[in-house]
Amino acid sequence: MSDQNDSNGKKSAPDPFDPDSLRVSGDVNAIGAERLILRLPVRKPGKQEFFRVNTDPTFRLSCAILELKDEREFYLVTPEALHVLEEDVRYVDLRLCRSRQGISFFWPVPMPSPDGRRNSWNESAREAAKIAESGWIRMISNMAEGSYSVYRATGTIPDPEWPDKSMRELIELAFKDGKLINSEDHPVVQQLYGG
Amino acid sequence: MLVKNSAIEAQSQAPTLPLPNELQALRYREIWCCDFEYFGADGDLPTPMCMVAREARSGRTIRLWQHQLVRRTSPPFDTGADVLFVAYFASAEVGCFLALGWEPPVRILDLFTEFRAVTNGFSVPHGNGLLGALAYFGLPMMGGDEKTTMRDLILTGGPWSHDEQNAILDYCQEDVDALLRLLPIIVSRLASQTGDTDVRIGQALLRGRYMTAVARMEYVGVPIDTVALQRLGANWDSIKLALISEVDKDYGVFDGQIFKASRFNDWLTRKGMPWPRLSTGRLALDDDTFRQMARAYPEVAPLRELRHALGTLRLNKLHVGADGRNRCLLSPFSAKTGRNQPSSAKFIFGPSRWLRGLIKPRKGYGIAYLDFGSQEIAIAAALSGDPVMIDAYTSGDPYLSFAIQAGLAPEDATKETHKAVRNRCKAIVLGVGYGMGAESMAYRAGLQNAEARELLQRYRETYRVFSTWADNNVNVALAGGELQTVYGWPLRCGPGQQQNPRSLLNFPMQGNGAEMLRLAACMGTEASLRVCAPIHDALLLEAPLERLDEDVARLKAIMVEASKLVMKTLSCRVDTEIVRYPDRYHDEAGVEMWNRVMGLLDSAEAQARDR
Repeated sequence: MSDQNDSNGKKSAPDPFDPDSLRVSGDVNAIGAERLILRLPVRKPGKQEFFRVNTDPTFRLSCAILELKDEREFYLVTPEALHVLEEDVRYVDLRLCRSRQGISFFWPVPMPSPDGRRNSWNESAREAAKIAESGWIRMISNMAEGSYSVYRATGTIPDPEWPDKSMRELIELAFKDGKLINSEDHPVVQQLYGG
Repeated sequence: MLVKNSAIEAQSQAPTLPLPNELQALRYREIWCCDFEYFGADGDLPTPMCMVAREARSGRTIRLWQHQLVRRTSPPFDTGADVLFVAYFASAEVGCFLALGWEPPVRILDLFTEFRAVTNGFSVPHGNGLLGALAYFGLPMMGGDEKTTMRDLILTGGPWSHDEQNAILDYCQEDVDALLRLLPIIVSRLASQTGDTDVRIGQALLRGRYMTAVARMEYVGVPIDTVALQRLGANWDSIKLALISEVDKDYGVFDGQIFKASRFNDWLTRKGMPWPRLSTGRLALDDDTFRQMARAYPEVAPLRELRHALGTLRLNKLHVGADGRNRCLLSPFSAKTGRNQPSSAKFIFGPSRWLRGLIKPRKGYGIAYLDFGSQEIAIAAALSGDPVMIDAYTSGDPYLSFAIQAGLAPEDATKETHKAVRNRCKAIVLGVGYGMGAESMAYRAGLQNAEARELLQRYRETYRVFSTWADNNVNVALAGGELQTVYGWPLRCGPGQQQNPRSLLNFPMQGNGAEMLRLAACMGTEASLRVCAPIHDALLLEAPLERLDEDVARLKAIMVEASKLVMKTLSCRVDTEIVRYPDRYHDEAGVEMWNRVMGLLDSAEAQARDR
């Protein structure tokens, strides 16, 4: 509209009877907001939580994890510190998960025991992770059976939207704040074995 | 230098003054600031008593008293497209133009709508009137006492002495002088906003254009069955008692005319019906709660209607003119969304729904209620660009579509085969539009909280594009940005302004819905259609019976066009309800109550005759 001129070549005044020339997009602001992930929880899926497991192999990591059960905290143990914590770590398959509520988290899925001992809890957890690759599930401890019961959602639920971050970035978010143990000088090692 | 032609008719020709810099942006041959004084009983057309107008550039001033106004067949200054007409609450001035048989000005800059636009979302300590606007910007103004004295003098209805006429004209001229002080500030505010100044000014003129539509609608008014209104008014006290007795027999919650909360609590217990409570533990008994609960539990509806009728109905407040038309200030741009906000006591579409049965076309005429179908959903789909939601809207039944899209109903589900799930989905779809949380939706739809949460989750997953867009709008506003409609009605969210996130979420739908209705009202009234009133997302039309269908089709086409102007990628469905004389209009939700009241009215009159 501002380019229109009248017959004298002068710019014409705005015309309220030409609404099309007055229409603007709602996005006039340079301001916006995006949701940031500041922490990525490392935990087992909640018993009331439907979730999915990411199938992309770049988003899984076989690693050693130290779990402080009292604090409900997981630490990622690098090979440099492994010799100190050998007795306390668990070997897990770290899987990226997403809940129906849109919460992303890492689930340390226990790996089979190297000595071949069977553990029905761990086996059922691995089976659950496999099922969650293709459908929405929730898992509940079934004490009577000594394993997890899995409920798979029926009906149509859209696939999850995964966070737009690399595995390296997600690992950093999950194990920042001192939750990466990469030397025997780490405070947690000192706490467990004395300094 | 003032050259008086007579004591009360005067034209002054002040030396040509340089136009303030701010007004250079307005490329008009002349800029006339104008104010009328008028009087009239509630519901009647205004009777203009005097007018003062001053041209901003030349200082030329025109003062005309009533007898000089009525002699004229056209305004005493040009009002074409190259002249800007400036007023404060221009629908009043245009109403006087119409009453005088003058063509309304073509380009209107209403400093009221623009003051509202400049401050919408901010608190205005002195209100939205002309004095409030002057005070807001720290401009000199007439004292409130003086204004009240002069208004009282005008409202006496005359006759006025020569001196009084001059005093009233001087008073009128003070408002015109105030417009001249306010105009540069408003224009500079328009020019300083983000975006093209011409577009901003054009948007302001579009709002001014709507003020003409408002004047035209107020001029037409809504036809009322004055005989029925008079009968109701004369017998209302006895009807009230009979009404309580009749409705309350199913509840037992009244003691005389007093509603007893304890008895209502007992009734709820007997019915096993959940009811919202206040933080104190007491039952929430406000009308909003009753209205929501009546939707979820229809057996509550008669009680809600009764309480509403007893609590708010003041028949004598309804503004009905001597010609049997309901006319009141439509209060355009009064809501933050830019919607009209007429007084619920004065406007026939304000009070209880059953009372709308008083709307009746006069002999030889019909009326039609045309409303945009699922307007908010259409706007949400179109402006967010959510393809799944667009599919849902274009299916014709967005509620059932949501059920199917979310996997809650099979592909071949219909309104009849899946009524219950459709109703649940409807509650969610509508609730999301109003920014409701799961708990509110649960109350509204009679759902368990967990089910409402699940449906809400499904909604967000199904309409991801919309959800992201809506979240972003809220974030923009909370971060201090500005929300605005596609034609520039803003919601200011500056630092320190508290905004309810629900209102922010809802603003794009409501604000653009208001734009849509305003455009439809403009185009409809300009097409010489007799539009009686705007009602939220609807227009009431009147036409002679022989032209009714044709006029309905024309207005319907105009409303569809208005929806395209707002949404671009989508057009809104328009639903129509036609009433021909001697039938009367009814709101579906009010029919039962209307019939009940009219039955009681017949009985009351029969008893009075017997006595």
